[in-house]
Amino acid sequence: MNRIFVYVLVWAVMVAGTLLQVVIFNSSATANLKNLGVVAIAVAEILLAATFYLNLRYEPKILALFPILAILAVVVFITAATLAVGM
Amino acid sequence: MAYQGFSIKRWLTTTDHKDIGILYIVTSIYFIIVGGSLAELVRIQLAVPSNSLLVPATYEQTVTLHGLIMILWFLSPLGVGLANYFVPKQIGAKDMSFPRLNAMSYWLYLFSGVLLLSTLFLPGGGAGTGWTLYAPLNTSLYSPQPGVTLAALAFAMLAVSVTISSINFITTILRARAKGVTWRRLPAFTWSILMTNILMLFAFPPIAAALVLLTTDRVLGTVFFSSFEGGSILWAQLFWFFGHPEVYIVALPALGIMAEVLVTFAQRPLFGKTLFVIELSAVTALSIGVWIHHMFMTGIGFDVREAFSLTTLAISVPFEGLVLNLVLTLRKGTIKLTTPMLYALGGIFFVILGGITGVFQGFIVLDYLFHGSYWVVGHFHYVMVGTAIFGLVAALYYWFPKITNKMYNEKRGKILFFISFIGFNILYFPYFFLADMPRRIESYAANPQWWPFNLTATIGALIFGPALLLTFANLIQGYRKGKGAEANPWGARETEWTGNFTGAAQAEEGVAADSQKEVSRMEENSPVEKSRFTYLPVTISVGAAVFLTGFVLFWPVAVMGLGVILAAIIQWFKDDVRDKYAVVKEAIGENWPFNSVSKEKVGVWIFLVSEVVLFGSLLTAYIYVRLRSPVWPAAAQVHNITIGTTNTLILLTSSLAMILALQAIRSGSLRGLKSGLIGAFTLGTAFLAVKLGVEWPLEIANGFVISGGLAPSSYFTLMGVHALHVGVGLAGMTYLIAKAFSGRFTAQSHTSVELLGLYWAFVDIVWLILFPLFYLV
Repeated sequence: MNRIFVYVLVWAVMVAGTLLQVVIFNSSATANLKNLGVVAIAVAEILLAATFYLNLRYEPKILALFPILAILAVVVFITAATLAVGM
Repeated sequence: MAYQGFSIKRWLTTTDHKDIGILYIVTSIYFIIVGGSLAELVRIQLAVPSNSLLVPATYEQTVTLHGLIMILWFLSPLGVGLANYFVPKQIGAKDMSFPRLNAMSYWLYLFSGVLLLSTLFLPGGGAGTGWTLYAPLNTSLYSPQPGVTLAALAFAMLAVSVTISSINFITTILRARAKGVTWRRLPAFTWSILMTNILMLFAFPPIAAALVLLTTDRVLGTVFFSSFEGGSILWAQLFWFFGHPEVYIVALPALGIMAEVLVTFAQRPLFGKTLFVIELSAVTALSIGVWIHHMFMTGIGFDVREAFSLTTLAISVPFEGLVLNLVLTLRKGTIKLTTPMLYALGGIFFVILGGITGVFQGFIVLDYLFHGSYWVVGHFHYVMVGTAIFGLVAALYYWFPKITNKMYNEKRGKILFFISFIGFNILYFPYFFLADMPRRIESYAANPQWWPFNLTATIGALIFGPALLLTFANLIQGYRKGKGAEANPWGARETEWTGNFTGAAQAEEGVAADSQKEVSRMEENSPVEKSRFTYLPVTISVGAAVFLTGFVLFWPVAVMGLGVILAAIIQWFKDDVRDKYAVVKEAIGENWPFNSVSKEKVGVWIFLVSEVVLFGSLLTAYIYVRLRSPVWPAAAQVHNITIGTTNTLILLTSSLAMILALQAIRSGSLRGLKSGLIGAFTLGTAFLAVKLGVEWPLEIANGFVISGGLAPSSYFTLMGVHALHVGVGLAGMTYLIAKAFSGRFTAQSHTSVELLGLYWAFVDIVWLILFPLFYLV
């Protein structure tokens, strides 16, 4: 498939995702459900951007290890810091 | 253009890795003289129970400055200096991957140290918070003096220097190894430097984030560390996520050096080298998961403490494994007790004692007994001073003939080793008998039973300090008056001595000559005069120091500093456009697993790792304070969702324009590239204009001001840091647009477009996290 078409498609999906987040935010669903929806869409958008705009599809797979390790460190950090809140 | 012999111009403008290494080594020795003198003052103060030499405030500042200088401006940088000189030599590279950035790392390091020392001369003096800069002592309420803000900014400047340096080292080791230097043949020292720099990459962004928050607290009125919900625990989390790995950042290069020295002087191969590398990697990985053992006394939940007690005990396994590898290397060896060997053996003795005393503190119950006492001071001085200094001095002696082509006085070196070793133990061993004496007190009149141990320690300090000073004097004298050294006086087998990277053919002299020929050829073929000397790194660093000083003391000075930085960056870009800097190209060597990735791209990806950790740390702070806050304003009440959504769409579209620009030049369309870049630039500018020109004024007008509590503090700080990144991206785009209009991009040559594209996509991704977190959740 033409790469330009793919990029535009990814952009369109992310735009739609952002608008959907706002729709969910303004809906009458419970706060927890709204948060779940908004965060789920955000994760999907980040994955899309990382895969296509950071070009992880075309890069050597070893490069993907860098951000994954960094994200892992951040997750450990956030988890421990969050657990510490419950002191 | 080349500068022969000693020339101030040469040292100000050099980008050669050997020169930069020497600059780091000399500067770090200057800092140990300053930091060590402060330590002597502390010890003299404590020689008797009640001493009037230092008043309490001065004593606190002396202890703080001593700790900061010794750990951050001496121990780490000395390792970095040695690595700068020897890692490229060990892997057969002609230079570091990014020589100008390498020079900038050094100058940022130097001027950050100058800034730190200058805090002593400001009204109220410098920081008296201890090297940990604990909150809320670091806030304006308890430390109103501007010296604390400047010290925090000096520390942040150092963090930037370290991050740039880490990117450079990791890229160099991944991408610039000569043919034959496979992962299996990589020397132990280079392995230790690789692991150290990976750790630096993960450890320094959190402290940079903490220092950003501290600066906004002190200058802009945010309340991260002065509020109950943030406060001391938030600072401790961010600080120790950096602080504990810092111990290994200091220790690992020393262990790598000891391995090299032991192999040479025991005339045995390193025992279990593969295991050694696995243990180094395990220590590196585990060391970012142990920081909470510094917070056992803060009342954190028991389960969390138990988990971190286990990780702390777990890290001692590979660490002691490393020591065992070193000790077993001596087995059946023909040991030559030269000066470097003596220091390496001394370092092993100290690492064993320091390591064992460290394990005690992994147990929660024992930590209750030892925490905040001189017992802990004894433990970390055995690790930091004993292991690191003895290891690094071993390196200075070991590589002295290689750096200077001279020999030092061996007999004097040995005598000074024994005096240092004895003085060190007289100084620090008594601390283990002072488990009930609190740290950071300037008198102990009510506890005279501590006096004999303190007096003994002071006597030790008066032996160890001068002995160390004489050690450096011995090296200086060797440089000035020493006999000429043979090319490989120790009969060492490592590549920096032999030049044999493949085990046979390629000699170091060959590589050096090759490099020279290549530079000459490039200069001959170039229409402009090319040079490997540039004033720009030192200029940018001076500008940064002026900017930060002005930021704290007098705004017009900050504007001047900013002007200097911008002018130098523009000149840097111009030099690149005109191709004035003589880039040394590495021969094709061992690149696995990055064979198909350019060094520039590897560098940018590693930079993005540090950015992920930086934003991750800021987000952790946000999540932490938000979860701890009993109430948090609803997003719709304080933010205009329509503006936030519009800005999201603008930034997403800007990213699309950027990727289309890249796609265009890949297929050879310069016109498409220009349109894409201009589109991305316009949309990025629009994003900033909406954020800073429309949204923020509206929010401020509605009473949502930065000093109005944790919610606006988090919002404005995180958005501000993101906006700064957008600004940097726009500056990069300006350069690309200028280069595109001068027709310098082709389908084959457009690396910088791709690299900025990666950065811009990352900035976009960060916004995809910030938008829902602040506007919707």
